[in-house]
Amino acid sequence: MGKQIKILLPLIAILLFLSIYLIFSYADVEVSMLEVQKIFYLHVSAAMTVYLAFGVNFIFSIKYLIKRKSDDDLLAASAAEIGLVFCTIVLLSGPIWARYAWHTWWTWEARLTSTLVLWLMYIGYFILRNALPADNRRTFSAVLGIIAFIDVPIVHYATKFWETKLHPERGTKLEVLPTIRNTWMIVLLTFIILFVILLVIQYKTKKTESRYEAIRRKHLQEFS
Amino acid sequence: MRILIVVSCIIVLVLLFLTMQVPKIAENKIEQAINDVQSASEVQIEDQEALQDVVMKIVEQLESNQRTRLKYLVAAYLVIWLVFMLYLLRIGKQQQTLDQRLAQIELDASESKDESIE
Repeated sequence: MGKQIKILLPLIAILLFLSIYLIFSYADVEVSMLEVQKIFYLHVSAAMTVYLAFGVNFIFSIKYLIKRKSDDDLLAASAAEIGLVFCTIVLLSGPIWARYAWHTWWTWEARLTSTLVLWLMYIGYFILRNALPADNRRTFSAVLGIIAFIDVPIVHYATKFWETKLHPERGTKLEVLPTIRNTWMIVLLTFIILFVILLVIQYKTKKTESRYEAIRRKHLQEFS
Repeated sequence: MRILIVVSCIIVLVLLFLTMQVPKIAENKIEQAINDVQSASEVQIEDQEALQDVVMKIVEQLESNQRTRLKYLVAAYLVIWLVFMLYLLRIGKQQQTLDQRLAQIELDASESKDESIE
């Protein structure tokens, strides 16, 4: 395990405990949603981490297409995988919130639908990666990664484009209590550090896997 | 990896513990509060039993609502924890498989080396 990970692991452990403490003991209970509002801290932080993860995938997909370095492809795939995990969290925690707030588990509202489309696009990204032979895999998945990222701004600005009333519109000035804002900032920081740790672990695993595949291919060629 | 799994397990246990802490207000405390409010205000209600009944029902309703909200909260946190746990287990299994493959390739390499020496 890398030196950076060894430093980040105790930090993330402390931040996770701090987040839980802040959510349940420090942050004020919001007046309209009461205790259910506390889902917001993880739901929104996970959504922000999804943007970050798919953003990293987008950047390294472009970098791969320009420089053709396999490391960039591995980083892009690792980021997409973690982004998909966080996106699953958003899609599963959202309906629980919705059931209480809107009295329905799911509605075909713009942001919900575009988030589901985003999730499906990255599922497609991995189906494509597994289906294609190694030579084509990198290029095709980089192209799909770039195309799929177009949905991220659509998700973000969905409430503005389609003027839905369920999610608050972008730029709406909400009066948020300082305890709620501070808690959310810490939870968001925790999720970002968690993303970085998982990204490093996944990248190293994928790199070792690709080295193993290269050695295996070499061996097979030697024996044949 | 183990640290993350242990931390997440502890977090879930803490959450479950917190959810069980829905404060149930004791009957004598409600009675005491009704008496305190009545003695402090000018309004006096004669049918004390009916008043206590209504207040008890309101308190029960509020407690039930709080329990419902906490169920939603815990359900969301459990789902999130479950997703993380499954992902961490997947990473763990991925690394275990990789270690086995690398050990096998090392074994194969040493065997082929021995054969070439012979």
